[in-house]
Amino acid sequence: MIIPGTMRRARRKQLGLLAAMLWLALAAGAAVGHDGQQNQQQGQQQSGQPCPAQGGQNGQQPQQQQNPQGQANQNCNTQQPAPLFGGSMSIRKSTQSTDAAALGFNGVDPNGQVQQAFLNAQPTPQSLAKAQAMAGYRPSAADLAAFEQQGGLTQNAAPATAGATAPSAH
Amino acid sequence: MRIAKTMSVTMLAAAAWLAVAACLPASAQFGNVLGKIGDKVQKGRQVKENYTPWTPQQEEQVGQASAARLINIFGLYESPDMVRYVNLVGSAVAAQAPRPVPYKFGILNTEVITALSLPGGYVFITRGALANMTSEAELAGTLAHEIAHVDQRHLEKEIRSKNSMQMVQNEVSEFTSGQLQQLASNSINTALTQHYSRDKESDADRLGVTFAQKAGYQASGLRLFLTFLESAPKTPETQRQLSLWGSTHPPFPERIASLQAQEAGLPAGGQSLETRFTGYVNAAAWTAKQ
Repeated sequence: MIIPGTMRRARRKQLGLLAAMLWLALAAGAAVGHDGQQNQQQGQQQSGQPCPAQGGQNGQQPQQQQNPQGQANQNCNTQQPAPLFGGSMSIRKSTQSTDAAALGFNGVDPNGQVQQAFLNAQPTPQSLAKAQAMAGYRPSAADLAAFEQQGGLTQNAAPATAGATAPSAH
Repeated sequence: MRIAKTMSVTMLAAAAWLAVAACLPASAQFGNVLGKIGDKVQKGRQVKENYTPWTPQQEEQVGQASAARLINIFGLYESPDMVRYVNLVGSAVAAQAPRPVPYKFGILNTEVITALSLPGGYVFITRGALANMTSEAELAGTLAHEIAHVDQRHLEKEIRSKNSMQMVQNEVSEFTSGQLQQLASNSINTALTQHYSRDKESDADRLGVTFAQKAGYQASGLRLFLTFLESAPKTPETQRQLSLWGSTHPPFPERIASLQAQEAGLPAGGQSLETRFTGYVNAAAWTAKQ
């Protein structure tokens, strides 16, 4: 004979078990469902909040949507590398006489790797303009000939490979 | 008691069924992922089978969009005299490359020591690399290696092998804006974070030495520069300067040995041009620091 109180307890236990199993199943489904999204976001999460480039001259930073946290940038300022020409190194660093020059590692983290946010950032209009200007700049054929002559390069230079065509701009 | 047991078994069965049902979408998703992998493999095969190099216009499009991203990261060093000098050295070497490409050379404004190239003839050397060279032959050898990558379309091939989007390239003369952004992103990610295959790097070293030597430079330029970099002390600062080079190129000793073997088979001679190099690179603009 089952006492009603005992049956109620058994039902409660069963309901609890059922609820727990449902919760586990739903949690497992949700985890699989979000897996792809997590993979996509993983790179950004791993890279943390990168500092902007130090290129004061260029003012080139990833667009705001790539690195919107102003506070993170403030933190980055405190983590910038030591002054470039301090310390002793037997590998050289450059210095520049132009006052507009920006000295620094620009874009790389302390491990020397390019930060993910910079890799993903859209270029600024200034960067696009500089790339276009770069495409437009090439020394003239006369300049190149004089340069080769001055360096004694033309005396040693072998003729270009048979069938080869020199770049038209040269 | 029996009723309670029956109810318990029924409820457990229901719970199990619900659990399986909840997992079904995951299984379906897994199947979907497998299907997508299959599609990509199939598309990859098609790309290989229908390989047609980018047209010069497409190369220029991708190169310029990628160069803008690179400049966005590092900035450009814009000293007119030095930019002109690097362009003259690069152009002298590039004239020996068989494929007609309108090469252009830029200096990236960073202490990181590296050189890299993009489709369309965009070749970059960093301020840090220039500061650690001692002769024009070293600069020529380093640029020649990058010119060889462009000449052989190495980056283009890497991107194609990873991305099936270029499937449409045969039908269009220019990429759409969306395609271009994707290709530029892939180019920069590949150029800054990944190794080329050993074969491609060996090709670039071998061809680069040939280009530099034919241009009239000492064939040893690249090897001497790599030897200097290899001998650098392994401090955190130098590691930071060299990390990018290390992560995108094979180890120094391997390359140095291979270059040495190649040089042995080449005629001696060629210009080193230390004085001209230091005149342009170190005298007025930069001061070398120990």
